[in-house]
Amino acid sequence: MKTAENVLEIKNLTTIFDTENGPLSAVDDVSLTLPAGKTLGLVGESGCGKSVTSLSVLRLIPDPPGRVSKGEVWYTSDAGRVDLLKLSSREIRRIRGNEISMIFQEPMTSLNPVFTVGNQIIEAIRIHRNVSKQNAYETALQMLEKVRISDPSERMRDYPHQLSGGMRQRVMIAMALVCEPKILIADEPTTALDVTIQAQILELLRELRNQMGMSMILITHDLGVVAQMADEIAVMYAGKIVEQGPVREVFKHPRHPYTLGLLRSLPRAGVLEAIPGMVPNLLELPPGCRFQARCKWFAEDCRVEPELRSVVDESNGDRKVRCVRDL
Amino acid sequence: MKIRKLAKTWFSKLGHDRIAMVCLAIIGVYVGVALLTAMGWVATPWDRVVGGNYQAPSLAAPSLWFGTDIFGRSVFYKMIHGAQVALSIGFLSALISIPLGVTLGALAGYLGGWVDDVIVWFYTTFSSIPSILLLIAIAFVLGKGMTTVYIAIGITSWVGLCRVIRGEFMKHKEREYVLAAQSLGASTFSRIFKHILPKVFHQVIISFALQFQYAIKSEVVLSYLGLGAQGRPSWGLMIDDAKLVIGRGLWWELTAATLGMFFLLLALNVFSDSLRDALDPKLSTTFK
Repeated sequence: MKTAENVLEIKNLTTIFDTENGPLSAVDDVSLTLPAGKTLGLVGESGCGKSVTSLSVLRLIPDPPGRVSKGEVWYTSDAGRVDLLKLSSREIRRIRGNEISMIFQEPMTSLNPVFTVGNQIIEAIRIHRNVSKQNAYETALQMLEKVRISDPSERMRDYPHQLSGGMRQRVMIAMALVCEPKILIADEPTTALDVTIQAQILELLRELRNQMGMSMILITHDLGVVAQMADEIAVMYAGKIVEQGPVREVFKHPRHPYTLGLLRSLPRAGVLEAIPGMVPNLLELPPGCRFQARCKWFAEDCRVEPELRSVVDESNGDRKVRCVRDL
Repeated sequence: MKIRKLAKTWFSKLGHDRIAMVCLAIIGVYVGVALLTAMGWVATPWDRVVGGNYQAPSLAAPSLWFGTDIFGRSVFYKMIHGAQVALSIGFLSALISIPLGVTLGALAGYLGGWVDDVIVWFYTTFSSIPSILLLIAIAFVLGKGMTTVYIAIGITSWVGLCRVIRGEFMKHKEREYVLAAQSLGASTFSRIFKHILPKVFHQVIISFALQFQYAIKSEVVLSYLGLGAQGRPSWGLMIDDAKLVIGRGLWWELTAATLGMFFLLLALNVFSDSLRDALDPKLSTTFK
């Protein structure tokens, strides 16, 4: 396989939304790295900035009201290393769907209702590849086979409303992967699907990832999915990364109270713990640690903003945590 | 193919609407007559003297069905030729106003921000001027003649469509399929015109039918004011001629022009309503 170079390096990314009550940093000084061929799980509850992070990478934040105010996103390809945030809109369009693709949570609404499935996949090809319609049709057909849609030539002529949720998500995956991107950003790809379909879609994603040698950013709030799919994990809370490291290590020994809470809140025999309280309003953050109001280890020293510090432990992995305690 | 199936449901919906079919037939007759006169196959020449001046209607010959005008020309022939002017104005002015309304509405709705502000400012200002006044002003600037009428009516009638399209685009640009298209690398242009426009295109078709009526009515007004058709018969000119003599009981020229207009406008009106019922999925009550 490839060397462990990083295909994507996000440095100090800050995304701000201008609201009527003042600017709101939905993503605050986030740094992430995605090693080639690996999968990074981005975890956190609703509204903590996972999706905004991934949309910022591809510059898909609607502007206004949103803007990426700070940071760098270095993408490394065969052609060299570029900062996606500095590219012209034509250059970033060449990257989108071609080098970095995205799939969304809602397969119900992510397909254009007025075009057939085939039409949409063919268009996805022809945006980036200068091929004839006939060739694009063949490629689209093969791609539908790859995502295991039965009777693909028949399905090509279907409109999205004629397909089930799982089928639509397969079509979305086909569209996203048809140009063989280096990176796939999957934004809660299975949240809207029922459990059996979830398992199938995850299996499919894993298989395609290995087959095509892609790297993947998997956004989810389902720790089970992360455990199954990811190599690295980054936990976000209220726009900041609170803990990151290799999945096994983090799951075995969580070092941030929030990660611990998340893991404990997974349903297990008999016990179901919840994290008390709510995510704070990003416009009215308390000084210091953002998790303080919900943390049982809270003390005076939490009123000072904690650093994202490296932790050295027996596993020798690259782990970081934003907490003053040693859990 | 699926698209053919969709078109088939539309047509079957329309086809089951008997009144709509009658209206379509009437419109068809008008179009047929206009084409035949344009070819010079019927009612030609219209300016031939067929009897004495102001001869009352009689059944003696088709040319005398609606009597004659001041020069002894057949009013019936003039009425038939009027259809040609009316339809060409409806069609050509729609070719001007619809692209204008769709493009501006799409850009304003999709891009938002200052583009939206400018376009909205422009059309609110524009529509606050009474359209007759504007028509006359444009006709004076461009000079008399048919081209003027096409352009004047075309550029005074796009605001309604522009508003509708802008609203639809504001709604659809938030949809996830547009974001998904963008994430696959689709350009702004293609998102506007390839992804969203087909979704709102039924509005354009409906507005095309409505535009016809507006244009025909406006032509009558312009011609009545002496700014419209020149040297060829139009319903507006006929009404203009008739106004001088209606007091003397010479009713047939006014009647002919009004009847010509009435049936066409009624048919267009009813047909555009049925078209809306058939094309707008939100209004459909039955699933077939």
